[in-house]
Amino acid sequence: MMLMVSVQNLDEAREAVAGGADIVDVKNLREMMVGSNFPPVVREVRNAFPKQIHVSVTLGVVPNQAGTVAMAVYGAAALGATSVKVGFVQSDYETALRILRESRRALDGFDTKLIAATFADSHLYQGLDPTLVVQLGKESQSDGILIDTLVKDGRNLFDFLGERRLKELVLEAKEAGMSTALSGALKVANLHTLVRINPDIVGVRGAVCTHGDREAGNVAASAVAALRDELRQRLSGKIDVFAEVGPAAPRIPS
Amino acid sequence: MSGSVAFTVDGTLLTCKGVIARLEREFTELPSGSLVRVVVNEVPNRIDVRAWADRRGHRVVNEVRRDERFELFIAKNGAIVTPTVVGVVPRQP
Repeated sequence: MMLMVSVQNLDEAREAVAGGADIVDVKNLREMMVGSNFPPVVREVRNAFPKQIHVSVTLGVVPNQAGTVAMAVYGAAALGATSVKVGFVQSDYETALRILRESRRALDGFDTKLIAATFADSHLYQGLDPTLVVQLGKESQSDGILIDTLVKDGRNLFDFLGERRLKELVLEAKEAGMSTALSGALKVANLHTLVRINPDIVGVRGAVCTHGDREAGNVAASAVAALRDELRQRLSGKIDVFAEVGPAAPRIPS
Repeated sequence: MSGSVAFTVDGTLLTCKGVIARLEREFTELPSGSLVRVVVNEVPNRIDVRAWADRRGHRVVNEVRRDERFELFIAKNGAIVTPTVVGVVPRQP
């Protein structure tokens, strides 16, 4: 499982990587909390690290304008982003699909991966059903999916979608050959559930910021390293996340 | 019946697309009865691989643990084979 840390600038990106992040996700909290950052910031972050450190670009909640979004996707690819995330709230399914298909076409010739994103709490905004993300990803030939949240009021992903449903979605996406990412105000207390769901990528910000504050705080390497260690202990089985739900597979001799 | 491992899927490499996505792709092209070794180093991946094999009608014919790594031997379409790999003791029925 890879650890993705959302950053707003190069200083935060350096902290994230120093702490053990596998992916730095460049975003701009001033634009709808999950908005796009500016091209020079993305370029600066990309140029600061070798290719094995993934740099993702979030476009946040995109407008229902396929050409505009495809151009932004192209821009992210031209900047060398490892992946670009296209998120939908107030889009109907067909519109979202059209935007993703145009985004796919915009990435022709680039290695940049296309990630379809929905928001678990989008019903608060009369938005797109988040569970459609797998179907959207499949039909648009996206490389991966992300389920995130928009509200940053203390509630998180699991307040809107349960473990069983998320596990089903993650498995379905994996079996369709896509990468899977979960995000949305996730904390150490959620790691047991997250590891059981087992997405390919877990995304955080507040949990690794100073004072745990995703807006006023800054990403701190020590907090990233601590979370990374907590995650590693659960992935390795040193902390048994399956104990509370019963054995998930037969034991084998060491 | 014993069988040689057709190839190994190394799920210990950190990539965005995880081991299940890779198994789906690799098994599509594989003849029925083929044996594949899958190496993972994360407990939830081990569980996911076993569950995936069950759902797809494949058979985990053996599993060994080497330090922090799990090696699972999966026969496509449920074929009963014994892996002939040096250093691997087949699980007794």
